[in-house]
Amino acid sequence: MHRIALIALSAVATASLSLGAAAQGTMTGDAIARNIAERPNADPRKGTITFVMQDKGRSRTRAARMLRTETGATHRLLLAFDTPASIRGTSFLSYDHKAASKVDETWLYLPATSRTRRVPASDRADSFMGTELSYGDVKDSFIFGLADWTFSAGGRADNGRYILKGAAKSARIAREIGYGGFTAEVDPATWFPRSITFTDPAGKRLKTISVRKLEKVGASLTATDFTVTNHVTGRATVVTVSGLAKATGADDALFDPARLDRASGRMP
Amino acid sequence: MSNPDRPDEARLDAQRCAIMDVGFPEIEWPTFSGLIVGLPWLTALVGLLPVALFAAGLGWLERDPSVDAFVSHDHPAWLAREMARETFGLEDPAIVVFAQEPGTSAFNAPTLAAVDRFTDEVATLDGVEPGVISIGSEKAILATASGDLEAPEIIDPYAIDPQASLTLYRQMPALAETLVSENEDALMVIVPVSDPNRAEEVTAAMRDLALEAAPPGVSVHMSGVATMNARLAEHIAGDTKIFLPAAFVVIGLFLLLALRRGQAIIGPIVVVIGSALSAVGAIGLIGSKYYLITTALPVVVMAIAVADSIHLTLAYQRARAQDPTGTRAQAMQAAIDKVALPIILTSVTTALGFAGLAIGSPMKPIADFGLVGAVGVMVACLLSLTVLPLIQLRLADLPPSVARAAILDNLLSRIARWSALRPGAALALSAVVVSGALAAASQVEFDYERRNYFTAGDDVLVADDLLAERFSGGNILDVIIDSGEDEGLLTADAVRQIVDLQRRLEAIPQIGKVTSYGDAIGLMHERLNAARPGALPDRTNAPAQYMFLYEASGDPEDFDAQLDFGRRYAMVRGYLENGEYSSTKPVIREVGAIVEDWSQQTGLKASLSGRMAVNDGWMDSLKASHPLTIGAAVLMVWLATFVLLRGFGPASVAMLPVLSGIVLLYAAMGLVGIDLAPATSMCAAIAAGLGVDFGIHLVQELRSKIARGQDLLAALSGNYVTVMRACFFSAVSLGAGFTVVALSETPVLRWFGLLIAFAALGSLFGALVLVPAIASVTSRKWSSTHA
Repeated sequence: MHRIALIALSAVATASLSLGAAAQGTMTGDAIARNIAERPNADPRKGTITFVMQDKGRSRTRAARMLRTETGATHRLLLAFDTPASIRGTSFLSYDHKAASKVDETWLYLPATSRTRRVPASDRADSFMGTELSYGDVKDSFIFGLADWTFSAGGRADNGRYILKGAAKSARIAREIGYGGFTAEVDPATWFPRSITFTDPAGKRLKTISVRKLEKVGASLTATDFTVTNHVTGRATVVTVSGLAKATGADDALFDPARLDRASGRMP
Repeated sequence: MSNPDRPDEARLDAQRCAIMDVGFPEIEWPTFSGLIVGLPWLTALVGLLPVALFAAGLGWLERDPSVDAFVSHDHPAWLAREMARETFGLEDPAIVVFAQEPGTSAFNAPTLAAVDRFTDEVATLDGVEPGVISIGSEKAILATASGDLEAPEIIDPYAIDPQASLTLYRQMPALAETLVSENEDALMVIVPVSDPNRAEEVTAAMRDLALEAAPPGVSVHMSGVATMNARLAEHIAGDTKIFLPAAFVVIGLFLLLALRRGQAIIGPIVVVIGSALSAVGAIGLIGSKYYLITTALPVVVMAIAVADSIHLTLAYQRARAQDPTGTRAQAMQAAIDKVALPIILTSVTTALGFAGLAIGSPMKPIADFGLVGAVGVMVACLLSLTVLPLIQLRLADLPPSVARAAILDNLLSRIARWSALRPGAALALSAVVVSGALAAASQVEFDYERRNYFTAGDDVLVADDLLAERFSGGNILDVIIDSGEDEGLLTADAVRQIVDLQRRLEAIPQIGKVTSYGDAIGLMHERLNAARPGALPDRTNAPAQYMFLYEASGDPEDFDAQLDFGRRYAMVRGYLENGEYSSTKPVIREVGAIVEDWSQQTGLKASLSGRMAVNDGWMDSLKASHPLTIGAAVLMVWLATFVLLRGFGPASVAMLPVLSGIVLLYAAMGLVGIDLAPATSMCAAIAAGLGVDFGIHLVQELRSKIARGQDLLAALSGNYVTVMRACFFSAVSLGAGFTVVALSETPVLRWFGLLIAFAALGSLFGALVLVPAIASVTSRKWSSTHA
């Protein structure tokens, strides 16, 4: 009898809270994260991506032609570097497999050695090509892995965006992804995080990603101007994508590691 | 005034001897002394107001225990080092070593886990900069059988495998003797800190963390400049706690001995406290800092300040004894009349000795020490002629029966008479002593060894010894390369040239090991292309692409300590076996020549940096400026004495004891083997200012009596002996005060205190013997010429 009363009471309380949240225009963290994860992201895209790496007033620029496609099981990213001249002709190819059981693969073609090298499987926390982005950031593409985080909503910011907070589900996950938690501002119109501040596994502020510009190709949104600031080292990387367009008819052979030496000349 | 008991030759007419000058007036200060005694509140205000003003500066005091404080901040080596610090971030770090017993491998799971954990956790401490380096942060550069690059962590934190770590480490020769000891029995963690000059808290936290992490059987040792600076800061704090109470006790005892009444020392204590407070407060007021050497300042000023108090009080006691029926006020006025001028003269000359440091020394701590020391001396003078008389006329009275120290007075009187009657012997004896001293002084050398700042057995020295024995040592000499453009160092030519420089430096026997980013590029080339060991890439862009490959698989910050962000600057780091200036000087000269030649050949700019180059730079400055500093101090003291005594002869006679004191000081350094280094280089200038005091007091008293018509022997009795006694107690309490500095935890400060004490005593005995002897010799000459 008591048990039935308790269940009834819980149901009433849950219903009241949900109604209350809806009345205030708020969402739960899980709901926000789900909306972000379900954002369309599969359209093949191409453009020129530029990384401006900054440190104490100095900067280095790397620019590459980019081709990004998605098969049912794998995100594929091809970068053919043109700048600086010393790495012109260098091509980078990565396969990010959706299946957790499959290890992601990365290759780099170096003209100086005339060979394609397999880059050892990187941890998601590792730096992506010397930038302040991690391989995990690139792989996640502004989507928070639902298996990695425990989400909570932090209400709305003054600009109307949702505040989404995440805490790594375990210490092991925190070590793997390099983050212990995050606070993000999420645009409810696009379900795209416009700013994310990550903490390290120890809870210390680590880095902030600020997205200034989004562009749409097909149904997929791409951040075409954003900055990653590392609060520990003081370094930052400004990433811009120009000429973003739908990559129609991209030759599948471009994504063949064995032909990576020819990719640079054949990029659309 | 002749005495029938004296032999004829002793009746010397001293009216035109060397210490007299034509028209020398007997200076009396009746108005001055009357005002002091008659307007006590105004007098007290005038005396205490400057003390209050200077003491206000105590609120702005800031500590800077670093040895770097001695370096001119516009010196090229300093600028290169600052640029290196800014660019590479690994200048003057703290070094933490986890050491097994010699011969026991440190590649065991507990030690590797401790180093790995410490490397991670130390980076989270406040005051630690990014870029902690150890084998816990380093990766090996390997290639798979198929030629793919691998950069595994040497210590896998999730599965520590000592054998795997050892194998990986042995693939990385550049880490040997830098992060891992030669015998693989100790592991080093290099921790960059935000401010190596104020690293007390962060190094203490590091030590706690390291001790907590270290497994049983592993000892923790901390070295590096940041640690040494922190240790010096502890010394300053420790010395400050010891110096002041010890100085009070010692000075109080000597005051009691000199003034012979407990309450008579209250006034002098007020003077020494007021002057020390003013000197230390002046540090804050002029925006200076409390440097290592400044620790000695309060004691130095106290020791100097006490002299004026002794002269005034003894003069007052003598005046009371001579006229027991007169009032205390009259006796004090008479005492002020008698000693005011010598006190002012000696204070000005002492202050000028200090000012010589301020003018001549390029090292800010020394220059500032001179400046605030001069403030302390002048405040002591002011207090001695204002507040002190007001206190002493109430507290310093002695019964006539105890006013004389018969045995001491008798001894001093004998010295004066012997010198006057046997001037040839006195001068010959002095000449022998000074000649011997000059011979010993010629052995003194400019040298600097940072180890001298620590006592044998100090933890820092134990760690330093361990670094020297098991690693390449902690004496770093860097060459900073500038290619002139970003990415300029990632060409095959640039790498080949850098490695060539590295090899040329390694050929110098005193250099243990040399590292640069060329090591890693060479390894990548070798392993990616199956090239022979030591081969370097010849395709122009290969280094840039290797580095790009590494960044794709490793941490982009792994090369931050060797190659700057823009790939324009590189650091080639050499480890010297010895850190002593005299030993490193020829090495640095040779490295400088190699670097210059290399730079001309390659077109790449290169400059010397690192701790050893900085030390070499400022020791060169010290060496060049030392004669100027001492010369300036002696000249200023002589000029002041000349102006104030108004005569070349008296000024020169008053200076003779100074010179004998300085020569004896250098002789002591030569005999004991004390090097001329920043702290000890100050001694002679300070000794010049102090030593002239005795000459001035004696010359002033003597010529005052001769001017009244007394012959020399008569003039050398009576009050002259009282002045000798005052000089004696001044010198002894001064010497005792400086000896307090010898209680310092820092050996160089001990030497500083002992050397000045020795010089002060040398000057005293020089004055006691030389002033009567020269007065006598010049009287005889005049008498024989004009008889």
